[in-house]
Amino acid sequence: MSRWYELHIKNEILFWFLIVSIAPIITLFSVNYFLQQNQFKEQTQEHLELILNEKISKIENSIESFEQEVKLIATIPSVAQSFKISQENFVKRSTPAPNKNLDTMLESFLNKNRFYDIFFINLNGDIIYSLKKESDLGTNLKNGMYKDSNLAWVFKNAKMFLETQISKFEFYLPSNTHAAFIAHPIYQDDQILGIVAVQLSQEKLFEIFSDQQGLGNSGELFAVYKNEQNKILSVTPLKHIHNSVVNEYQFPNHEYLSSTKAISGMQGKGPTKDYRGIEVIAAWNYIPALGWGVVAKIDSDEVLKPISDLEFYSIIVIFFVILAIVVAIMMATKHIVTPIDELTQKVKRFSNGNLENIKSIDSCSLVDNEIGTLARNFNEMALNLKSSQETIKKYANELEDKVKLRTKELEDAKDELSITNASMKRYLGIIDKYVITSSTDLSGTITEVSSAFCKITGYSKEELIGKKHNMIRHPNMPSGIYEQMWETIKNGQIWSGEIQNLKKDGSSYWVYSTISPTYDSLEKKIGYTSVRQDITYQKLVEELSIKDRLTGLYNRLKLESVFEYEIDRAKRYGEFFSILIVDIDHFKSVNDNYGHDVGDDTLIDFARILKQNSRSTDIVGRWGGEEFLLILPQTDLSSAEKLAQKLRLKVEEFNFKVVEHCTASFGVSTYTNEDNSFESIVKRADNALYEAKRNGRNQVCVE
Amino acid sequence: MKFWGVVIAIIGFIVLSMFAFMNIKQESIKVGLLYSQTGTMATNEIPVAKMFQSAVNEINKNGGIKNKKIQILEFDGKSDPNEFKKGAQQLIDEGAMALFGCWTSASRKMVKEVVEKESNLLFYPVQYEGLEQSPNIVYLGLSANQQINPTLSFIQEHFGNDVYLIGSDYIYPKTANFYIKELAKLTDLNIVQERYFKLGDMNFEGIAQEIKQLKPKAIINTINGDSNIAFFEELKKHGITSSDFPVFSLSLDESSLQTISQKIGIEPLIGHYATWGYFNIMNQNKSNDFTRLIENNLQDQKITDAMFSIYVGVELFKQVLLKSDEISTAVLQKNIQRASVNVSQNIYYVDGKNNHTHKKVLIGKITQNADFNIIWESQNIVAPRPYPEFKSREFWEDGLMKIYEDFGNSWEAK
Repeated sequence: MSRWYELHIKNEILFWFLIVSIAPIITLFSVNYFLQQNQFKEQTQEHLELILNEKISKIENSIESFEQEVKLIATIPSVAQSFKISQENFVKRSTPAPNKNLDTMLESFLNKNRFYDIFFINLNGDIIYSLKKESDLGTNLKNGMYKDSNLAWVFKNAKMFLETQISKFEFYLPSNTHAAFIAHPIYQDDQILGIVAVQLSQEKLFEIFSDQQGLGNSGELFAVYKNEQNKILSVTPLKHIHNSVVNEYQFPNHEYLSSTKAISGMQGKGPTKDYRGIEVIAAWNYIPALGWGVVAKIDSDEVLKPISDLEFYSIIVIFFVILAIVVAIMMATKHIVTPIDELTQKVKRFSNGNLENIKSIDSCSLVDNEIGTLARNFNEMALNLKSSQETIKKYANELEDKVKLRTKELEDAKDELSITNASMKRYLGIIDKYVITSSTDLSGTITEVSSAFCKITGYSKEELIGKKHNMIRHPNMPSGIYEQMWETIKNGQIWSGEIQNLKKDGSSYWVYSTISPTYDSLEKKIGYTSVRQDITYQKLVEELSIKDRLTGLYNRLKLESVFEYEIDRAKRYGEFFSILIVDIDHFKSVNDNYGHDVGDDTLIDFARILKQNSRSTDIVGRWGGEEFLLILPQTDLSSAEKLAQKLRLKVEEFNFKVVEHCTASFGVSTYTNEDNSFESIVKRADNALYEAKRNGRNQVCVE
Repeated sequence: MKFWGVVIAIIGFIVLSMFAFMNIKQESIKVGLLYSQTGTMATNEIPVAKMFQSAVNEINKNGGIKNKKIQILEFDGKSDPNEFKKGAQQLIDEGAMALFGCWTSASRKMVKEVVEKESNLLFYPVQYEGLEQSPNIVYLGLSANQQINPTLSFIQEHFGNDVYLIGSDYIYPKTANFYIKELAKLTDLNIVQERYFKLGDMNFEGIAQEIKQLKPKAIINTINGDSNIAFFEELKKHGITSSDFPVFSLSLDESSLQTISQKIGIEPLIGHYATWGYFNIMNQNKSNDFTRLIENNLQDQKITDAMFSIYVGVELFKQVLLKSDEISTAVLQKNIQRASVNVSQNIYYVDGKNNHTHKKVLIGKITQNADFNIIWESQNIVAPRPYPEFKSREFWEDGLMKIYEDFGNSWEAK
């Protein structure tokens, strides 16, 4: 998670301080530098413009003074007279005539002004006189061989405008050099005679440019002109072209060059490139009289030298200022950061838990600032921590002794406990093996069973746990028992009783079950546990003693005990009951005709009819031979008679196996308070049975 | 985020500090446009004003001068010199740093008084009679010597020395002819007759007769305005063509040709001559800033000498302000001297002494299309001489004063 600008605190302070302090310095310096540079450039431009304007003025003044000289000579009457004579001679002889006096006069004029030559030209354009007497003398400027020369041009214009004219500076063949001409009309008696022209030499014009003051080392002033082929050529020698032959150096014709701008009639100033391709600052202008473009320029490097020097020194100064700032910031940072570093390391050691080597921070605790306060507080904290630590150590030693003691006691107890545990485990094993126990939660879902329970039920532990306990409930068990049981245990009481349960294989067994609620450690009821005792065998014995072997109905012994019980109840609670005595009609003949086996089967079938069609509370038993007895608790005589009639019909309708049809006779009696002995009740029923037999059998008789 | 916030703040600080050094003040440069929107001169002056507006709009479209827009203040001179005087004063009071406009010499003379008094600067776009020189006027049109000397020279060379002078009766023809007469005295030029007609005079009866009688080699025409219709009609009526007596007009431009030819057809004009510093034909088949400007703004409009001159005036104005360190009338006035511009490969240069413009002079021959064919042009640009050298300045001024007095102390014939 460390990015490049998330620096160590020292670097971070250094970084931001540098930005905050250096950014304005550099900004101000740059702005100042550019302003200075611009100012320098502008100053130079103005300076150059000034020089250029001065030069142009000077050129104009020079031209004007040349013109004045020409005008002067043209207005001298003797010159006009000489002109007239020359003209007359020319007309007479068609060639110029020598004139020594004139030569002398004009020679001194030329020498004085350092003009190259002087011409008289008549109105027809004939050169009627020239001092140098070059090949142009005697030619005609309108149609002669030099009609396209600048002398011809200056003649035509002087004649046209009747005033001084100056030609451009061009190559003049008769003199085999570059030349310009100044011409002026010559009058006599307010009539124009012709034109006087003087020839200016190249050197004459250079003089104007020779003064290059104020243009520095690299600067120069030069003039250019455009020849007929539109080539831009230099008029004056060029400083940076060695041995440049004047009028031969051809300038590049780039539009951005000041020479090109000047010759195309524009004026201006500013940074540009010169003919060498070097950056210069220039001013340029056009001289219409000569058709010259004039340029004054200085190399940019020279102009900006002071700025470059300034730049150099400024950079040095800035460097030292920055250095000083960096040092100052580093010192300040060290002052701030060293205690923080020390603190950090101490704290780090602290956090590693190394309290032994804690020494107070000395380097800065004497400083009276936030860091000093922090250091002092830290020292105090360290001392407090140290004393606390010692106290803790003392307590820790005591604690350790106590723990040792306790550990020994605990170990002893543990030994004892393991012995106890072993015997307990053994007992538990025994219990598990021999005691039929099961536990359920509050809803009756099995949570735990003993091995003995598994054994008796035939299920495995896995099959039982998690199932409802009623899965082992036997259909023979009346639901009332369970309702009573749940009511008891839900109230937190202990229930116990005999229950017949179902095995996995469908057979049943009997247990004497004691069910009690179980509680957790917080005394909260969490479920129920039952402890069972297998009483199946007891039950079997019990059944055999009260049941008739052949029919499975109660035997006479059981019937008699039920009788006693019912009589007791009737006596105690005033409840009544009735009895039926049933005898199969003509059973003796069945035995005789079909044998005892058929007789026994008939008895079994008969018993089933009785059992199936009587109420569950009724006690059905075999009274002896083919005689049966039913004890009907809480049944009055008429209800008993109805039951008897129902049974009689069932028997009559039943299709027996062999004998097919069989009937029975019924005698009914009931308990009365007056006659309440067992014998008398049976006697009364017997009497009624006898009555039925006598009345033709297959009928019910009531006492 | 905090980091970038700081960086942005620093950059913001730098940019703001840069702005502090910049001049954010944006003032416009006000210039006055003084011309006749109404009156007899309106047809001449409106196209010139249009050209001026187009040239200024073009500069503004390209960002103005040194990021300042040029704002044009206009005033309708109503073809009345007194209105022009009033207008010049008003425009200067409204803050115009220079004025552009005027056509007639009478209006220029009135405005001259104002600009001289207020040290303002008038850019005057029309060719004129010369004999005037004010440091507060930039003369963009041809001066008398630039127009007349080449014309006479051409006539003498191609036709002969006898010339017939005809003009309107006001300052320009009178002064021009005064100058021609002085030239004639020195040379073998011969003036056979000198005739003047009132401005707007349509009765030229007898002139053709006189010309036929005097048989001049050429006629120098300084008639102004609609009178030209009557003059050329008179020549036509009497069957005088350019081959009989060539007419050299000094104030007949392309727009005049159009007006006249609409009335009497182009036929009577064909083959006659005019002398100008610019002809409409010069902008044809060329592509440069100037031709693009007129293509975009002045289609179907023939560019006359005065229109071109005012364009040169705007270009000079721009050029001078661009190279000056300060935008003020005084600096403009100082730096306009020796200022030069190059339009369509021709140089226009303001003289460093007399404030007149150096330029090429051209002579054109009227064609079937009411245009001029250039038949002669000066080899170099011609220097203006408001006071021709062969006489003293006093001589010229006295002569001019005499004309003024002849008009009853007015620049116009009453």
